[in-house]
Amino acid sequence: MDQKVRELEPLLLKSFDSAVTPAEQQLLTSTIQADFVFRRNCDQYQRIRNALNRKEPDTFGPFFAERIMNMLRQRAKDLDYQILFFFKKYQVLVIGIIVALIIANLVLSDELSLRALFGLETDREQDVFSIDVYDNLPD
Amino acid sequence: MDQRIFNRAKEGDLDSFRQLVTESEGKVAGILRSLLGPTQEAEDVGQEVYLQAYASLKKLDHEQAFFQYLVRKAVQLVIPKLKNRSKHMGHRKDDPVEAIKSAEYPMDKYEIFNYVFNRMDPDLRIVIVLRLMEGYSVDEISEILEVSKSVVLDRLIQAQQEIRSVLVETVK
Repeated sequence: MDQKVRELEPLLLKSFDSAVTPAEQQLLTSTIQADFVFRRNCDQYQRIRNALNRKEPDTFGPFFAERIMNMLRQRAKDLDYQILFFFKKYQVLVIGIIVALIIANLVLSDELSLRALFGLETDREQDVFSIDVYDNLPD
Repeated sequence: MDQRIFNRAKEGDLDSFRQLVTESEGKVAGILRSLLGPTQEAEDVGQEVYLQAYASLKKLDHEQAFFQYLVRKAVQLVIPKLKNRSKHMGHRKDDPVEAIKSAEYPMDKYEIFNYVFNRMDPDLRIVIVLRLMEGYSVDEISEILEVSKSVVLDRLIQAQQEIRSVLVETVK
């Protein structure tokens, strides 16, 4: 290939996709007019580019959008299940703690009642009357 | 695309997101099917592009940003797959002209182009698809690939020279 043509080819290709200076454009135009090989190469590049240019839009097919929707719905379900499962672990733990506290209340209490079960304080009669107010008054 | 549809999709309306998918999948399919062929792998990547886009909707301000996100994500996801394919193509370094001439049956120009295209460096293939097939400007490709415009232009020049050099030697 002619040295000049080889050197100008990158400039020619650049001119297809980007602006070139007026001097460069002038050089390309004059070389295309004067040099048959350069003109032929220019024509071949343009034919390749035209052949590659998409004439019709491509597609993944008519059900692509529906498949995406199904995947999004499935992901939402999976996420709900993960959240439920995440809290389920803590539910078991919390129930275990509550049962342990109830057992502890029953063991520590000397009576079997609902108040004892829930660890509620009782003001038993004997406790109230065992305090002798008059004994505690200063002389 | 309609900004109202985009806004509704952003608020979680799946029917609006379906409209966005229907309106934009042609461009994503064009890029992925040109680079990976009309394969299940291309569709799988396409699905992943939209699933990630849905998860990122809240970060996007307008439908144009959504569209740019799709193209950028498609390219990001396809690059490792192309590089992986190239690694596994042992015959890639064979002389393509010799390989085409010694093929069992004569190839037409489209088969020759596909042969050359599939053996090109993935970086060159991507600029060919984005610029010559999908019609993105050099500025847009520079943003999508996060490389300078001169790198995009250099890759375009190299890719076209590779394609032409094989075609002129092999197409009668």
